[in-house]
Amino acid sequence: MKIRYQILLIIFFNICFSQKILIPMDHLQSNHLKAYGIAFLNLEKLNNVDWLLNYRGGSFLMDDIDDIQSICKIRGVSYELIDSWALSEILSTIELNNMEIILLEKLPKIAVYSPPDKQRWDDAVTLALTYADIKYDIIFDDEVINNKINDYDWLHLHHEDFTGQYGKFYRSYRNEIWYKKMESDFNQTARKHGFNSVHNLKKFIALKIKQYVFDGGFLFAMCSGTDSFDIALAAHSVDIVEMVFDGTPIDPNYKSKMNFSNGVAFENYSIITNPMIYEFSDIDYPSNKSPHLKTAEEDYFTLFEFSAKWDPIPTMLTQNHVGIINGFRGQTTGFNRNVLKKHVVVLGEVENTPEVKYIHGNVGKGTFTFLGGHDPEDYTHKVGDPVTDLSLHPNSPGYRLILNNVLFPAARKKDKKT
Amino acid sequence: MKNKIILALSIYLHLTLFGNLNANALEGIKTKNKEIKNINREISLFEATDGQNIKRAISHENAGLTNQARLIFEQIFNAKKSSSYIFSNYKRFLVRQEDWEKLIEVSREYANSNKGNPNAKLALVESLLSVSEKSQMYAEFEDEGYKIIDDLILESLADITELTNISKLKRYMSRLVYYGKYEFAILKINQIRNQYDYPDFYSKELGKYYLSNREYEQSLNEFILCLTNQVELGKYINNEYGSIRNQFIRFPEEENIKKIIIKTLTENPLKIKSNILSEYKFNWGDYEEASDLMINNYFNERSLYNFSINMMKEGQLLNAKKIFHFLMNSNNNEIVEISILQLATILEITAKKEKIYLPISDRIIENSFLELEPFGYTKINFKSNELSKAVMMYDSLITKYNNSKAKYKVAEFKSIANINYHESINDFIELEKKATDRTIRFESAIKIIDISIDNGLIDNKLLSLIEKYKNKYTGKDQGNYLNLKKYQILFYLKKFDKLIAELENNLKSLDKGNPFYNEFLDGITLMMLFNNKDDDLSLFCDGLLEIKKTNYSEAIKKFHLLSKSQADIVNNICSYYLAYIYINLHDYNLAKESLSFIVGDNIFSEFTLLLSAELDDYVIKDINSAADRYMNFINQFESSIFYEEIRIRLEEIIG
Repeated sequence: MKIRYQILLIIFFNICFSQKILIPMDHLQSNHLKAYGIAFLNLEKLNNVDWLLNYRGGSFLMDDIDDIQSICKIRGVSYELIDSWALSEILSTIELNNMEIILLEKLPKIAVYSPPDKQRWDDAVTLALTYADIKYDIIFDDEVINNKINDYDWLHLHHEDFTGQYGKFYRSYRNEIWYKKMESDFNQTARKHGFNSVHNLKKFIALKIKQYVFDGGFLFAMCSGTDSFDIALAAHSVDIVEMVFDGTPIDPNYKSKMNFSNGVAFENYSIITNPMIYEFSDIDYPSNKSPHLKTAEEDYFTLFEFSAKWDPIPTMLTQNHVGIINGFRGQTTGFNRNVLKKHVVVLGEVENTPEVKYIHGNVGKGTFTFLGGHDPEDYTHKVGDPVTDLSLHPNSPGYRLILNNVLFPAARKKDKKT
Repeated sequence: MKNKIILALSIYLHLTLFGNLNANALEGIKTKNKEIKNINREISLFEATDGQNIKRAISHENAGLTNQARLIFEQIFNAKKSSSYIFSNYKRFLVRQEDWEKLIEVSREYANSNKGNPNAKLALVESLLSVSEKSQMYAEFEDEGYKIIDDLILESLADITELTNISKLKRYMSRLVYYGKYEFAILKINQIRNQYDYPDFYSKELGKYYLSNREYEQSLNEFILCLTNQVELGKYINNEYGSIRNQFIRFPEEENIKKIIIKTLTENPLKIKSNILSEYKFNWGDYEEASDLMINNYFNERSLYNFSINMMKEGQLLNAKKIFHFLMNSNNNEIVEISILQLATILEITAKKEKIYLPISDRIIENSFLELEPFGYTKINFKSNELSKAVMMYDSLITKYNNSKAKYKVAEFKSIANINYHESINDFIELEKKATDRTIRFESAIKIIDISIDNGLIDNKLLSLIEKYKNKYTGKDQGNYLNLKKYQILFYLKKFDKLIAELENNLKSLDKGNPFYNEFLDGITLMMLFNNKDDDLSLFCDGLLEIKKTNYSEAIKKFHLLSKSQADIVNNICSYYLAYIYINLHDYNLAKESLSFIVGDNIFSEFTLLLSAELDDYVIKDINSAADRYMNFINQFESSIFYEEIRIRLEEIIG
């Protein structure tokens, strides 16, 4: 009789506490990208989410409340109901392996630095955020100058040019209507804020963004938003832009005047001032100037595996259901390993080559993460190409890296163990 | 080259002298061929040396060894000063090194080594003009450049009727524009336009240039000028590849630019300007104004007809009707015929009542074995004035042009009116025998079978007729379509055993990609659902035949009777088809009531739940109820083939 009561008691507790939902992020997940949106939605509703690092591709564990099951079904996200026995099994698996539980508890406020007009190219981050139903604001020069940037936890830069060379599109697009409009709009903003040239305005913006990161902001940049940002910081007090951009010649001694200590990620690189070359510097690897030696099928990069318990931040940023990811090109495709600053952590690389694809580092109280390439699901996204339809790529490993960065600021800060 | 000729001659002599092609002669030819190949190889090796040297120079330059690179370039250029290949690479190197004085020097040498070659002179002009911009100290080069290009222009103007001279002149202008010598270029363009009776010279290119500079008014004026050229106008009217029409599309759709376009196109009105404005108005959605403008400013009737077809595609039936009415007065019989056909189609569309739309359920019912009409299908209102007019038009097409399609349409209207189905069948028999279009003949054969089924004329005679048609129509899938009709008749004749055997046989040989595969499979599945309950199946068959005959009251009786069956699946089938009848009668409350009796977990409970959700969503517009039903569907039928489609719809309506 006693045993029967005990069994009933166990069943009762089991029913009461079986209110957990596991969103697996391994190959069984039908929509990885929208799964991030579910985690984000939970945070929006002030519910905590556990991010199970390295457990089934970086799964999410949350309470089964607020119709979360229905929302998963509607958005096409696979989930599993977890009872207390299964939960204890998961916890012990995590304890015994290179896995960790990270508590996500703060809803990050997200901003994307982008001109208000529609661009002639995709922005992979806004595509990913929109597809995953994650809210964000668009900010641009005016907002950065007016310190509105400080209202946000996370800032994204994509295909922007902080060197003031209008994206180095001069050779191919200088007669296009959109290029001329960009020139005129940027000049107008520069004049409005008292700058005598666009490159001075953009360098000031880069400096403001660096200060934002220094004060604790999270910066994520892709494509030319990475190297042009760093170059703008290093070239803060020197004219590196040709006459066609600002009407004045470049400083003949610009090479000696570059201050690499101002940059956040790169050093000792050479910049390319020729407006006819679609390249900012030799940071980009492989360079746009060199011929494509690989086909899209041969191009891939490998993610590093970190110790989840000792290095949770890089582990968070590299959560994925695959370890090898298809490469993708951009104005800045990857980074030359030889020009990385010493403190920069490599998260993803093309093995046995100088190419590093995905890097991370700290600046003051904040962090930056750079991902080379333009669009993870369009190998060579060109100006004017149609927008990538993410409903055709719901399991994109490349886009997952972007969304890892979005959730990363939601994590409760832990002391670093290494 | 000389060597080649000598060798060829020697072979020729060798052959003629010795007459016959004996073995020795053949051997001789082979040897000579080898010699020719060797000489060619030497020649190509010599050509490759320039390329290799240039590559070597560029490699040195890339490695930072610019002095060595310069030395290599100097050497190979001095050896072959007239080579355009070497010059262009050397020039690019000097530009990269910003060595402007050397660039001018080299360009002069290249031009001197190619006396009489206008391209070499143009290369010198390009260097002079580009360098003149670099610094004030080089400003004097500008005048020299102008003088040379002026001479080149005068040379080409000596015979402006020559096409090569015109393309040369255009090239000179494009170079001037490229190097920012815009005012000089305009001066020369105007000179050519005014003094050489070439009023539209360089207008297309200049229009593009202005457009890229966002000078919209000037751009439009240049494009209009270009259209005074009959060749360009022809391309524009016929919407040919590379026509100016593609340039007009490039103008941004912004309010201030729209104002500029309207102002430019309404000032000093011209037919072409109004025609362009009409196209713009169409693109901006001002359809009424667009059609009025086009009627008064079209260039040929075919283009006006196409404009009206585009109006139809945009759903602008009234405006399209206006244009087709106008075209009915044409002297061109073909235009009149096709315009009347389009007008009749428009009238037919407007005469039809608005059909309700249930995306998935319509697809299920239409693609079924029995090919029922989609939900809420309503017949054409024969009392409407539009339809009477349409019939009159089709009649006039038949009288005047003996148009087969018009005959088919009129016969179809008559059959729908169902005044006398024998007469309708006779109309289609006539068409099946005499229509000039073979497709119309086959469609008429199908119509004969359909009208017979709809009126209960199902017997062995009809089956024999189908066999006869099968011998006559052997085109792609025509046989399968006739088989489907045959199987439907076997079903209504309740010859279930024979039907199952034939369907099984056919499915074995039919490719899964065949468009009729699913219909056949649906037929066999439908009968299997009744699980050998032949009485129930027989009653179901009677009910469906009443639906086909549009005898809904009888059909309801049969299905009510059938709903007393003990089998869940049969009950669900009844609920589904009763709902189908009530929806067609527009009694949505009764339809919903029928759909509320769902039992079990089978294919018809899936269809029924889906139908009730779509009815709420698209007809009753009760979004909350629709969302609940869609959600129930998602929870209940996770492996349904409609799962993803329903999930996306649910995401759309509730986010």
